[in-house]
Amino acid sequence: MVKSVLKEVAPRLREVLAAIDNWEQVEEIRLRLNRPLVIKGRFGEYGINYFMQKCQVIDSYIVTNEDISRTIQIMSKNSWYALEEEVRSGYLTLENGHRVGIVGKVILEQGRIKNIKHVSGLNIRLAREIRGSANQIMRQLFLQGELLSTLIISPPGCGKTTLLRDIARQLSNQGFNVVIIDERSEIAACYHGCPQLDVGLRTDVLDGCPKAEGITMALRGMSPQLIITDEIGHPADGLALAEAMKSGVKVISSCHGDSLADVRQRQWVKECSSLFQQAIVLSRRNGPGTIEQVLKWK
Amino acid sequence: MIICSSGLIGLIMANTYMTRPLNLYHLQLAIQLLETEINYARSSLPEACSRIAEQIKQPVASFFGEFAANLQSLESPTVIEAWNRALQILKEAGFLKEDLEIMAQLGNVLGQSDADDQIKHLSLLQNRLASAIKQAEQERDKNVRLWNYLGFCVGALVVLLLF
Repeated sequence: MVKSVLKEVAPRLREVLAAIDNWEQVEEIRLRLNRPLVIKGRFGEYGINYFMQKCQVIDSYIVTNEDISRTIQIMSKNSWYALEEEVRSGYLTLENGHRVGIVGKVILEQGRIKNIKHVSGLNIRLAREIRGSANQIMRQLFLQGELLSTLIISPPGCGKTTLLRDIARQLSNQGFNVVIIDERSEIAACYHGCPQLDVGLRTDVLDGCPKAEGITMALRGMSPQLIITDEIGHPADGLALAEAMKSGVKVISSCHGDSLADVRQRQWVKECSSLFQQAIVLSRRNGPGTIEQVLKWK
Repeated sequence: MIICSSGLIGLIMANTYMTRPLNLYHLQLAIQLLETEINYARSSLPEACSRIAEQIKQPVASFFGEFAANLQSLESPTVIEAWNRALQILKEAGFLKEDLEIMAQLGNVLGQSDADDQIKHLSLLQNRLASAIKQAEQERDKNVRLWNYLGFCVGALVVLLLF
């Protein structure tokens, strides 16, 4: 599945990237105009030279303008105009859930970003689901058979999103009606509104929807038992979550931070922290998704 | 015999003048549909073009169908490659060189810019096609009757001269 990204890049790059032999560990493929190609992952980083062999980044294949523009054309199905919304937010989601960050010359119109011209860099982030990544945490989510509203606190890169996806999948398959408010299309990696990753049998996804509005929409129409969303940060998100929890819906949400004390400072927490029943703090100590601390209120 | 075959040649010539405005008209209609697809639905080119192929008359339909198929083919050609390859269909269907040139220009820009820009290009093309249609209609009015009669007259003349 990870390898499916090959058909989304320029033909020339397909040949070069064929040298990757550890697809399972690759996290990012970085294309920067006139600079070396970089493959990143848990192993660190490497490049691929002109003899299609792995090498130091400094000796790596130099990405040309042709490579980038062809890749963009293929990714956009030759229809750049169809992606304006996505480009404005800085990334595209591809058919298999891979996400591509875009940088270049930003065109403004009345102070708002209108488009990106002369694309100079692409960061292809490979989507992968790690089934069972939530196995450890699943036990913590219940107290005497009752699901607890949980706040997952973690610094970036500790596997929050992967974890939330697996929680959604497992709980949904256990019989919970789950709604995912996927503002940044990261949890379910929707393409044309349809989840590309397994989020469970009873899961509905509001893709690209602002969290506060999405939570209200879900409450109105989808009768969720559990709402999952990531990276709350705005006071309005806190209010909407509080509204959901008051009406008896459980919430599992993540936010950036190192500890509960750190998170407590934030404005949105004041709106809803008392309604969460527990907080779980993650770190990267023993690989992504290490549970550091479980704090139960109840 | 001579009168018949000569008359037939005349009719065929007349027919080419009849079909050109009609073909161009269908082409213009298709471009209009494409503009709508881009403007309102933001559909991708392969999606939009295969839908247009279902709605429009031949030979324009097979042109758009072929273009969509080319775009989706495995070797992922550029728009201009896919477009020019599909234009062969119009060429074989008897489109004039000047009409093909108008179309060829669109291949350079299609899909490469934001929606506003695409729509400008498409309306420009529609205007050019409209004037080509007008010209084709004038030629049709002038030439169709001429060729219809000319074929038979020449046939008759040849017969007269022979005997």
